[in-house]
Amino acid sequence: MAADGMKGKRRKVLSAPLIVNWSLSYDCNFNCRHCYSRSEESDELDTAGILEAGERLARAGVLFVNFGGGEPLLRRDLGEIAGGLGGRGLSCSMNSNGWLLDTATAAQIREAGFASVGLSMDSHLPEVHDRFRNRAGSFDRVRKAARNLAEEGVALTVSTVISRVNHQELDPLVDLVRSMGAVKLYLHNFKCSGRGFDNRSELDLSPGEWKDFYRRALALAGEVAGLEISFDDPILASLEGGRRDDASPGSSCGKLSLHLRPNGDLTPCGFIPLVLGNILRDDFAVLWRESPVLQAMRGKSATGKCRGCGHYAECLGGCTARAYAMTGDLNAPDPHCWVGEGESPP
Amino acid sequence: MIFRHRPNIAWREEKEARQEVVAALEEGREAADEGTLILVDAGRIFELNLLGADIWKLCDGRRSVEEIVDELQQGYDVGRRELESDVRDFLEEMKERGWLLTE
Repeated sequence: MAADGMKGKRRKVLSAPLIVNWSLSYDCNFNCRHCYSRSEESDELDTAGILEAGERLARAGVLFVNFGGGEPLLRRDLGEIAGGLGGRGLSCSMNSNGWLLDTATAAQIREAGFASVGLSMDSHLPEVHDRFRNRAGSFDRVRKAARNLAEEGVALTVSTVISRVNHQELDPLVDLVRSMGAVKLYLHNFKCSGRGFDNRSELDLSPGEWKDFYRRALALAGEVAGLEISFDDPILASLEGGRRDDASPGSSCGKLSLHLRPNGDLTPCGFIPLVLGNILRDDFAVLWRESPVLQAMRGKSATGKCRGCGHYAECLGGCTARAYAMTGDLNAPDPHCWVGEGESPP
Repeated sequence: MIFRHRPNIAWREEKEARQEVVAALEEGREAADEGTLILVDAGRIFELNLLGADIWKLCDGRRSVEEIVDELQQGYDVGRRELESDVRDFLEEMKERGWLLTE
């Protein structure tokens, strides 16, 4: 038996998610035009509750937690939380707008043991970024935050939500992110949730524009050295070279990942407002295995234009959150999907 | 040579999957290729089958290759020479991938 034979085949349902995206708070010092969480309200767990929740996740086998929200740095106990969860074996990262990330905070982040910090950057142009984020000076603060993290030796990633303000400016954005010393650039597809839903006609791309964008992103990802460009969208299955061989078919939500709200409620992802249960009140393993919502997401069936589509086995209808937000049906075709939109079906 | 896991590589054994694979193999069903252990490296997910998982877990920075083979020999009905060859191939591939370090 060769070593190659020891690579196992992917199982359909893992024993637990690999990562939990954790909105510690929905409070934010920004008011971005695309944000899913500005209309969200939730009580927040106290420090002890968060550490207990982390203990339960670690016991279940979760490997990573990524703090988002809301702005995680508004939680004054963030260092204590990350240190406590790290001590339980969880690898912690976070996404921040960078506004509060001064030199002292960067040092605290390093001391707390964060594996990496993601900063939001929506354009290489300061005025575009600041307008999108509704906060003058935010572009400069992100650059300063990146420098502060670099001085502390904390790994930096950059997150960009793709929208009409930046979809044709990917090359200069990549150049900027490389110059900031980031190890990875995440290109997040636009979600029609919260303010993203309200502003979708102004910000979202057409299916054909998504196709063009992903073609350019795929080309850049193969060309750029020294920066990993990461984008994961199930609808990439219909583009040549679009899906990684290790990717699970369809959305990863509910299969590889879950989302925690500030009060401990679990949802499949931050963009699907269907509560599975509560991390402190319910048996996590039972929720993961038996939740009707998760079972529905793991057993999707083709509807509409997905019926008979040759890509369905790989994309499983695309992003479930987008489909649900636009139609209320988890099985509906992803509204971003370009297949059959003014072109020949596969 | 002593092998140990790279410090920042995340992994976990899928216990239920392991039980199912062991049960299937005991019943003579084909399951040797089923994944029983997950590795996550730089955001990418990899799985090891039962034998790969068992070797991986023994790479604790203390055991020699011979000791790893000795331990595995108790659980696998295969000749020592073949087993040792498989183990060495596996360790070499894991080292090339950067998932195992040597001392």
